[in-house]
Amino acid sequence: MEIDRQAILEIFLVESEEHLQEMEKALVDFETRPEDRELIEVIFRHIHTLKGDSSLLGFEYLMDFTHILENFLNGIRKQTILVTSEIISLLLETVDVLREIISQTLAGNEQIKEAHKILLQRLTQQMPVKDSEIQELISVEENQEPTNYKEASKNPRTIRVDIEKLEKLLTLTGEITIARGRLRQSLDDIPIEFSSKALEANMDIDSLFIELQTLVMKARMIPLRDLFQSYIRSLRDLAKDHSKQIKLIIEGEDVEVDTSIVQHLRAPLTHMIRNAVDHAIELPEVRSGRGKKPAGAIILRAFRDSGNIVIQIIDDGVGINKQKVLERAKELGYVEENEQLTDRQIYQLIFKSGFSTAKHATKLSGRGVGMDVVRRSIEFLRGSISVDSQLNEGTCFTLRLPLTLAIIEGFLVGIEEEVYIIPLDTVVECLELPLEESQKKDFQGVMNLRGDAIAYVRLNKLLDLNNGNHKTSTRESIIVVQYSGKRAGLVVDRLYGENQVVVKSLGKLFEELSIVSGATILGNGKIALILDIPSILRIVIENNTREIAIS
Amino acid sequence: MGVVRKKLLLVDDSSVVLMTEKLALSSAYDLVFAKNGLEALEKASIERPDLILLDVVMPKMNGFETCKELRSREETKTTPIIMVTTRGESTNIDSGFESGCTDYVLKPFNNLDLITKIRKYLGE
Repeated sequence: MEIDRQAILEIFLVESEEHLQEMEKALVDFETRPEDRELIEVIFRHIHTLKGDSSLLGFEYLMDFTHILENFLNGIRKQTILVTSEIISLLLETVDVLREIISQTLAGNEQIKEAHKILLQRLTQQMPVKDSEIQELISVEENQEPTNYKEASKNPRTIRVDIEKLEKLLTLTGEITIARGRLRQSLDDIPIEFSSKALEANMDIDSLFIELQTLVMKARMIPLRDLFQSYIRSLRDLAKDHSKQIKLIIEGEDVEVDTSIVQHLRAPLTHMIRNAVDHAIELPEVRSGRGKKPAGAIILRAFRDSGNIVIQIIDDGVGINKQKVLERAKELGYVEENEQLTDRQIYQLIFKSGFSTAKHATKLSGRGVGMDVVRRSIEFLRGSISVDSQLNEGTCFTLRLPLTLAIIEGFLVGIEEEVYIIPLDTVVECLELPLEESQKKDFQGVMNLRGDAIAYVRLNKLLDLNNGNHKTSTRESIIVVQYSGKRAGLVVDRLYGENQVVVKSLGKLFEELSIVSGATILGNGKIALILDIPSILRIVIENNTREIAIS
Repeated sequence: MGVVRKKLLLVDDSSVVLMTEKLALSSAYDLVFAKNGLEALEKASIERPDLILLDVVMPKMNGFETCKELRSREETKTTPIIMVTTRGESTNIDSGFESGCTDYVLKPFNNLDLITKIRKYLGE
């Protein structure tokens, strides 16, 4: 029986949170559309179900609390309580308290807090009739207007899995990938006349394994819905604090992303949405003066694009003031006095580190509060961020993210005695380093690539690998890499070709080592480091511009 | 040949309730689930259950409306329908009978009461 109860409690934990989230969403909608009576029915049903569940589970405190709340909601249904912004705020506060009570209750700690009592008092104060209409609680109106409010449909053909089990599954497939590499290598060492059957079997295993791995990756994918919907509530509260009217429009919430990406996406998204509320969307009177609707809009959109996830945060606020961004960039020394930049280059400046403080951001561009931090978190996810804007019309941030962080297509290169991995999606082309450049042996330089000047760097020097054993006779190769519009050449000793690699984190110890983003274990059991191309590109391009400036 | 197991349709928008009912009943009966009134109507006409346990407050179509609709259909005209209603809401019981339900149980129910009531209407 204990196991049964545990299973039910787990369902309750997940489902109660769903009720609260749906309730928040309906409450925020109800504030703007109080005439939509179906919304209050939805809110009521969630609380009623929560009450029924807590009675079934014997959670008395939660049951009493939801009972009073149900009573209150009934007042709204019967229109004896008028829905105002204050009432919505009060109910949203109640949702927070419910969340607290549920987690307390599940932790076996059903205690009544003073704050909860005060909230209940505030609720009952709003009720014209005190608790006498309990009998009529559940009276269901006959002629409900049909509305287009959709309840999130629940798919019964799903089970809930502990995230740790998924992590373990992924780790195991990773280990198998490595073991398979070793097996493959051993098979290759056997003369073909003895190994042909084993090779054939190995090929079958290969295709089965790839299928398995794809499924494991898919099991880790979750829709962006919860993440996106959590902003409905926070945006509403933020906007209210700033006396602004803002509508959040969510598109593509069904798009699925690896669960670890969703976790790491929350902070940067929150940051950008806060920025949009704080600095981009104008006060209603200002908007009206500019011929805009008094209520601003923020669109949170997701879609898939050729193996990537694209997330856009679009607002219809003040837009970025190019002139002011340029002035600030010159102050900071990012741009020379007479330098000519394209619009795109100017906007991209807001992601520079230390570009603006909160004070400057509010006065100047209305943007840029810690956008370098946002950029870094997106790059940590092996993604990129760009921005487009139109003065007084709005701004659009576009994030491009990989579907998963766990496995990448890698390009293996040899530098001195070591093997390094360059993410394949950054590789543009490979060629031999021209003889005249090869003879220079400089840390970095600029070479002519079919008429274009391209900066390059010697990875053995950048990685400080020069141990004197370097064979001068071999012609070096250059790999042209590109990331978010920037391009550079990386000089290496040998090319090994492409391979799928399982990314292992290097842990805290190597956090400071910005040119390496992770590690993997090769078929021969050796460890290879994965190069962080965005960081390397920044180093190469910054060094190069400095050098050009000096000369 | 063993005895043919009877089939029950359990209708509730809460998985907590459905899971509780399932744990109490799955050893004795075949179970079919629905999470709202509309789904219940669909399942009832496809699965032809021997008995229906019906929640009251649900999205899309509430328990009373569902019950009325079930009663108007030939295949469920006489199927025993037990309303599962929350304790302390006696108007629900009246409205339940008005809409054509056979009996009711009060939430929170204990498993024994639930099983006794089901067996009574299945003639077991």
